[in-house]
Amino acid sequence: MHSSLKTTFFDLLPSVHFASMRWEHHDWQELSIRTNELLPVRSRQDSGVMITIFDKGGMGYGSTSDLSEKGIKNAIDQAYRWASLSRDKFIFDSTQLKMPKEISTYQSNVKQAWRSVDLKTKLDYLRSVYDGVTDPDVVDCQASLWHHRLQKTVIATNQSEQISDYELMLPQLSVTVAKGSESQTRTFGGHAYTQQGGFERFAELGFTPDMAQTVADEARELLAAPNCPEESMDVLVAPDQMVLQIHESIGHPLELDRILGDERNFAGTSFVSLDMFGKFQYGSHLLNITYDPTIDTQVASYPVDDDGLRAQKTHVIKDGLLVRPLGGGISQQRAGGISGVANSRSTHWNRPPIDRMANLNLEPGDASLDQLIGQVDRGIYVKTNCSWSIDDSRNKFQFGCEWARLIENGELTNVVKNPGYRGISASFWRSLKAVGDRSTFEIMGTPNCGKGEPNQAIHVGHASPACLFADVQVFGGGSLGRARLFLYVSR
Amino acid sequence: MRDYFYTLADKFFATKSSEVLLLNFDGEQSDFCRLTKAKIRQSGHVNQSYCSLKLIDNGRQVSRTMTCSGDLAADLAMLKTSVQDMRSEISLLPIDTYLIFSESKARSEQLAENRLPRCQDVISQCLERVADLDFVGIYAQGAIYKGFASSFGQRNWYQSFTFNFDWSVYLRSDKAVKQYYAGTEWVQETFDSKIKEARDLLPLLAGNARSLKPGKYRAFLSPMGTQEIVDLWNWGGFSKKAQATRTAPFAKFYLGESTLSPHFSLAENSFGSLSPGFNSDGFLLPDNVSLVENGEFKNSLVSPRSAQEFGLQLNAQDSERIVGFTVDGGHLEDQDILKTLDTGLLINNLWYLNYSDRMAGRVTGMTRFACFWVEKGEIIAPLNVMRFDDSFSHMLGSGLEAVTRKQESILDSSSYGSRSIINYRLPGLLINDFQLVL
Repeated sequence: MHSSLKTTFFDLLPSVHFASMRWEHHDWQELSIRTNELLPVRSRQDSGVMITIFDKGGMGYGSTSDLSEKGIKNAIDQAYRWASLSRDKFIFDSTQLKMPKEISTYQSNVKQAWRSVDLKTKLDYLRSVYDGVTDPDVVDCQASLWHHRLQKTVIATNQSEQISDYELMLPQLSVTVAKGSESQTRTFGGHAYTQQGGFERFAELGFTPDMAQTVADEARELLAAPNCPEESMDVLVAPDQMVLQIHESIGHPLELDRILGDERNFAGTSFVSLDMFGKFQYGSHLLNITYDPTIDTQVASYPVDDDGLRAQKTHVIKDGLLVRPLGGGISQQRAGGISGVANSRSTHWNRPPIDRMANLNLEPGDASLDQLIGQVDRGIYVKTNCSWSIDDSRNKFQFGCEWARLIENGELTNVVKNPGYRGISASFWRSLKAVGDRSTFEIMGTPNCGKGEPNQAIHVGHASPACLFADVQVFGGGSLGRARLFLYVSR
Repeated sequence: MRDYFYTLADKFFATKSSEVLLLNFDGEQSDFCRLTKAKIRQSGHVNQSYCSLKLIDNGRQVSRTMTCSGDLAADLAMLKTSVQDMRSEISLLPIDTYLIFSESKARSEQLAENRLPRCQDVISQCLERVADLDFVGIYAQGAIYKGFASSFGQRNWYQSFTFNFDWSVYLRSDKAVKQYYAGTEWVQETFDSKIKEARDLLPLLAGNARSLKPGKYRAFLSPMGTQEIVDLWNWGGFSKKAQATRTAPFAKFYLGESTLSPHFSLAENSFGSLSPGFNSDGFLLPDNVSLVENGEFKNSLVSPRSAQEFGLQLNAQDSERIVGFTVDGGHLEDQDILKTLDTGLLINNLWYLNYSDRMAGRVTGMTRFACFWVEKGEIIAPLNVMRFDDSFSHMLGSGLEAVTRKQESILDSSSYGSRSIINYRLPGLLINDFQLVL
């Protein structure tokens, strides 16, 4: 942030209870090859500020892409206007609000910055991965490199100041093969390989020509495979599906703003209530979930959140017991001082911070992948999310995966296509019967978690080992005429 | 903003060169007021402007989007600096086989009049009326601007001034009435009548909620339920590129191996001033593109790039997604809905739809908000949320028994990055053997 912006802000700001200014500059670029053609190269450079004012019990924000003195003045005026208007209509008494004072600097651990690599080198690398797919049956193939640099500075009237410089990367590959009216698509981890770091992360993640050929081979294998059977069986879930399982059925229900009711008109409520913390057995004793902002390659690692709260690793669920919600400082104060985490984050300078998942991880256990497979008499091993749906209280879920293999008598057998499974969050996690060790653990993340009004899509991180669940309702694809109904008793 | 954009374009294009330059503008000035428990949770104002510049030279193209300030001199300098950077990039790029751009000099303007109320007046009046309710939602209003200019001299401008109030009135836990009110001119009586409807419905949610066993049921989907179904299908479903690469859902339909009910017709419709009539490459779009006609596949959405690749007439935005949905009305009158449903589910909202089997067009999702169990045309009990797993071919085909005559106009309330201009005219659907699974 230019120092002149800081000066302008403090010079123009009226006397108020608390005010902050968040400046952000985003650089995005995506390079894609699809069906052998380089898609138009697009980049985006995006700067703006959000000014937030708490005063006399009200709150307002003003955000603008006009960073001139006039623009900052207008944004302050808008924030003050809304703070005044909301004075006697605000959800809590903001005169009692205590905003933390923190001074921090942060920079992603980058060996080779995206901007330091010339365009030709990036395109050559992307082309080499794309050309790894040589299968003549492929009807669609797309390989992409996505980059996002976010520079952010937050200053406040309580002398807080946070300066951050993040670099995020996402490699993607999608391969489709078809026969008749049927097609199968296999990807490189869906959208789950979002990482913090530099250009080096692509190769470190295994985004290589060999990987591309493996993805194509698996797509072709799926096309020839039978549908996943429909029955209740054990499910071994790979990390690139665990990402969604954690996200939808632990992350969202534990967001404190949902529990407080803010999201009920859009993203939904939660089956979790405030009185359940410290008492509710969320999962089996093997379930340990942490909020962890300390893994440097994970997308939501940072020292301080957007409201200035210091971030540190802590258990959210410990030995299956629900410990604390995912709520930032403001939500914690609204909820009577309950302990939460530093997860008040905004997606962009034009949106205010709300409670997000940040990095929410499932801690590794002690079973190798072979040991996990070996204890299954009949089940499936599923990889890579391709469909997700869950009710607004985050209980009844249904997920689809790209790929699965049957497990019979402790061994992997046939590949099956269109695997899916259904369950209820509150009981599903209690069926967790084994947790993979660190050799099965992968650090992942997704760039687009949607929530909030106005809407915000933000990157969140999830790391997990492979996990084994007992007696899960599994199904396959095909027309409904063949689909059997599960005689589940709804709650 | 129009004058600013035209002047910016004129000055920027003043230096003649062999290159082609296309300039898009996207801006909004919006107030957002987020409400929870009939109080304000977060409220503020967003002023954002973006210029997107496309440089085309010797069969190559490169694009860059930048925030702009509204200050002519500063933004012009930024564009000039950016185009210099882009010139150094474009020489590294291969020739784009499917490059296409408009060489037209056509001018068009869609200039809506600003009839919006003062936002603070709306909020104050509305909060007074719902003070005793558990009211939660978002009010948004303001200007939305879109512009296109090319170095050939083409100029297009679109501006709208809309409000969008999207809310729920909760009775308890997940039992609520979902409503919305959107438009260009606020009428307090309309809001008041909707709140009265909510108050009338709330007692119906108070009874013991019923959970249904998995199975097949008659179901009536309100227009908001229909919206969720067509929204999911719009996720690649009508895209020519997706269909050609076999990644579009419900393959048998666009391959001509399956048809839907003759009662079902779907079109992309620009609705006059509600959607901009031009795309980001400057091509003017048709007012109406029939996608499904009496149950049969009719057209795909074809972007300029797909038009070039597949040798077709372009008819869509770059995204090849519907912006203005029209599902034709049928013959079922509103007053006959419950009687015709007889016994089954009255579904006001669906939620979180996704594919169980994308290629087969098999769809899962949840019921949400005010949904009821109906017997012999009478509402008997509220429903607990239920998961369905059905298919386009059944819900919009063999299982589609009737379509309401009345279509509801819906302005999309979503606001990822910017306020949506997607709009809908949708009827309700009466479906036989709607399949619940959990």
